[in-house]
Amino acid sequence: MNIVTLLKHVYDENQLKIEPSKGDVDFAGVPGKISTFDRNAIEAALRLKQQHGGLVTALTIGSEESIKSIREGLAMGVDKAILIKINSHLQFDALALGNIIAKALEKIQAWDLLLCAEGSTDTYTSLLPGILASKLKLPLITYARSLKIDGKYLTGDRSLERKAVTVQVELPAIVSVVSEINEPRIPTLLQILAASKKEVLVYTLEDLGLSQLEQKYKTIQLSGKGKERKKIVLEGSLHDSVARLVDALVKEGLV
Amino acid sequence: MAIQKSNDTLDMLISATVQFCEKKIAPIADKIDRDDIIPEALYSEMRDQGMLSLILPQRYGGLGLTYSSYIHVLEIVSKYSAGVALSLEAHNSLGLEHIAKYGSEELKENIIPEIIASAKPVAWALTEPRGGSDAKRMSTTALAKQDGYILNGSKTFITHGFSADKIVVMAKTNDSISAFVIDADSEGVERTKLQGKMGTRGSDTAEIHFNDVFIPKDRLLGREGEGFEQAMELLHGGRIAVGAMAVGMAEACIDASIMYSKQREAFGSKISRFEAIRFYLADLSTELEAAKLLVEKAASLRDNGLPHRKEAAMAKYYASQVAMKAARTAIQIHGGYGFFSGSIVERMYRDAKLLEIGEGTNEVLKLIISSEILRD
Ligand SMILES: Cc1cc2nc3c(=O)[nH]c(=O)nc-3n(C[C@H](O)[C@H](O)[C@H](O)COP(=O)(O)OP(=O)(O)OC[C@H]3O[C@@H](n4cnc5c(N)ncnc54)[C@H](O)[C@@H]3O)c2cc1C
Repeated sequence: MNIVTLLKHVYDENQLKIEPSKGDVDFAGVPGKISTFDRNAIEAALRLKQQHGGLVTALTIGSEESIKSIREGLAMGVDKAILIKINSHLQFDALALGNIIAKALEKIQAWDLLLCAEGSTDTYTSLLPGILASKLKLPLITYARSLKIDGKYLTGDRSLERKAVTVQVELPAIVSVVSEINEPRIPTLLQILAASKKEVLVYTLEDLGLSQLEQKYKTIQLSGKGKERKKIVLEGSLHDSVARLVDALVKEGLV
Repeated sequence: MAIQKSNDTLDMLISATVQFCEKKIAPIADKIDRDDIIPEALYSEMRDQGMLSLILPQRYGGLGLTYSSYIHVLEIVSKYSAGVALSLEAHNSLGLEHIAKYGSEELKENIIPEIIASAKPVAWALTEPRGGSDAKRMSTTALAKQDGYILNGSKTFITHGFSADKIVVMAKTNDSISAFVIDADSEGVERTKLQGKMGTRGSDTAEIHFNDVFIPKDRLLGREGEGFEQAMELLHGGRIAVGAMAVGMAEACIDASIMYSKQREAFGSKISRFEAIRFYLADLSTELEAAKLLVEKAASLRDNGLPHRKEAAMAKYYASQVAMKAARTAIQIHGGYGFFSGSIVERMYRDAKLLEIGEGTNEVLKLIISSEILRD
């Protein structure tokens, strides 16, 4: 069972600064990190590997800086990684990324399953799994919250708004997972040290024979949106305010 | 393996340790303090995480961290639980390190996998009821007989001495001191957990009596007569590690104080707006920075095989005082709330005192520093 996981290095969204009047996003000095839900995809891959053996390869399209996130994946237990080096991870749209990934997958012999997150914590288009499935003509399970492999079949529970659907596909297949699928492991210190010795293959777009990439859409402006808080202050005795807090939460549909 | 600071690997070690502590230690830190016990399950989880073999060389299955990296792990754990950190420190810097540094290859091949598999920390017994500072004047004896030694005497204040499976013991062989590693369940070993400890609770502290305990010959660490020098060498490392604990605890007190002072109001403004509070925090942060640098410098000297007897003593002497001051000031900033159990600063205040006593009291450290600078 050879599994490929997509791993993206993104800006740490908690550290983005937004200019209050115009909403301009300041990326300067914002540290990068592994896209949060990619850790769920990696965890899912590692658990399947534990049951069925094989290798887990992480595939990253990103700048040189992505190595930091790749090492984190390797520390979790990913066996090896491939980095397709580009200038900035916001350089391409989902379609172009799909083209690059499809080409890069040719560098990985005989894989059975491609796992990715339902979306990346920066652009969050959720388009990539679908694009890849149609490009590679492979079955697709999106929003998986559980996965089971039985021979050449893969069964997954899809987590949809108000319902759950169990589907089965034949391998090889493409799967996107939701965060509920598992709790990603904390890498052990020994694995962290071992990660620096694992193989990371680096290719450029030219190496993949991709010098001209078609882009179907262009980001014209990127701006941050502030969220107005309700700022409700409950005054009075502790006993009363707790009761009113519970009422308010129920009214908002939060509990 | 030499790991330089602020590279990706060290960043990941730090981040994984923070995640581990948040998940496994933070939820039970108060309980560990209250019950004065570290659950066995936590030791197993720390073992799996690599925390029971931090500086153990990789050829024996350890992480082989340099002191410069190791101190960061200890700093972080100390922010959550000084009791757990003390146990990790005594095991990694003293007990296990003594075996790894001075044990015969054959002994290490036998005993180290057993220690790691058991997930039990190794205890290190130097101090005796009659006194710790003047350790050379010990009365525990190991009399040579044909195929080994017979151990008699008492040790006290021994960290995790009650729960350990293996104990490194310093004892007199004729006129000199030698070091041995013994099995805690050997016949004639009697252990009592000391009650009523003020701080660093969780890691048990024990009094151990040896009544005609037989030690096989191959349990001698290094050569006969080298035990005291070995112990002093390990204590240089231990003092750097205790310094790192102090740094972590001071940082925890400062962090808690920053958070509290930004929330607490008096006279119509946040107390963080008052100059008195701001100056407390400015002083503490400056002193913390200085303590960090002393600890890091001593660690780097040790990693590079350079003399560091003075620097290790300075690191612990200064950092322990910074931790004490940070805890005392943090309680002041927290006012009445800081005086009650359940607040982290109250716990840290009790914990920090140990740092001025264990592994060389601050008076003894000043003797060392002054003898180094006066060269007399
Ligand atoms: C929680 C805890 C854990 C410990 N863990 C361990 C352990 O794992 N292994 C171990 O071997 N020991 C351990 N110890 C013992 C510790 O190292 C000793 O307590 C310490 O070395 C001091 O020895 P003492 O308590 O006998 O004090 P003493 O040596 O009796 O000293 C009493 C006072 O006299 C001062 N003093 C002594 N000599 C001089 C001098 N020449 N000049 C000036 N002042 C002096 C001291 O500084 C101190 O203030 C632990 C202690 C504690 C409290």
